[in-house]
Amino acid sequence: MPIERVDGFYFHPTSRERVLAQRHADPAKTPWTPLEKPLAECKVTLVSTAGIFTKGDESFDYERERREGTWGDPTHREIPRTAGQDDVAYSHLHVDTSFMAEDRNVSWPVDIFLVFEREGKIGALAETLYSIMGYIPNFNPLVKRTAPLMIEKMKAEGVDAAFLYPV
Amino acid sequence: MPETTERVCVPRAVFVQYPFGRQLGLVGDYAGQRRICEDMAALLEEAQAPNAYRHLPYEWPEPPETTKWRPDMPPPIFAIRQAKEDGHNLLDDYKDEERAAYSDAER
Repeated sequence: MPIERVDGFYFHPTSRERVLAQRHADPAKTPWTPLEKPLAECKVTLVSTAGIFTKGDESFDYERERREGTWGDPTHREIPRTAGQDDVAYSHLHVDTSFMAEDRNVSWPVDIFLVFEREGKIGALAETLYSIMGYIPNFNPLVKRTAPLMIEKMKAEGVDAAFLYPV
Repeated sequence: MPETTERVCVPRAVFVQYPFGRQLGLVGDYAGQRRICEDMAALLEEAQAPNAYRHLPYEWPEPPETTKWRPDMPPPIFAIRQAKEDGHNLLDDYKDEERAAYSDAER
């Protein structure tokens, strides 16, 4: 039977109580930016929370997380669209990233968006793609510093829309 | 996770009942992965107002009990949680020392 409403706890039932205890933001204050032109004319980018970084670039700070388990690295990494499957590391400590190491498109669909570009479904895939590491209880620096840095770069590259892939 | 995403009120989101780390599908399943990317693209083009959420009907082919998504080595928070199963609220331990440094007042 097709699923009518997704159960986010289906694979992780022990997180139910913890998640449902979290405060609910006000839906009346949800930000909104309309898409102002067809997707076929848009430059788009991808954002992953899988802790992806280009090999040779600085890793996310897992040493500190190992010392302080309630802290997560709130910084981001920029990944060129030309980076291939094996040119990057997939490094999230909380999720098995071995599947991404076999086929990044299970959660980081660069190859699919390159096809979308060739087909004209999107205007272009941006020069730069982005990753954060999605375990960030200390979220203020993510919101106040990292996100603006990513947005600044996206605007400089003329990006119209970003597809976010939480891992 | 709709329960989390709706709580933080993102403008648009597509939900699928797939495991962490493989939200678009199985390794090598290009057609299935692409289908979800197309669903996301469709929502981006069609949504007219914030809080636009769609639940996708696709079913994961394995039962949750045997679906691998956890890393072989548990994350550091796992041991902390196990040690504090006395009802201690871990939110109290979250280090948010950067909160002041990145407060709205300083922007």
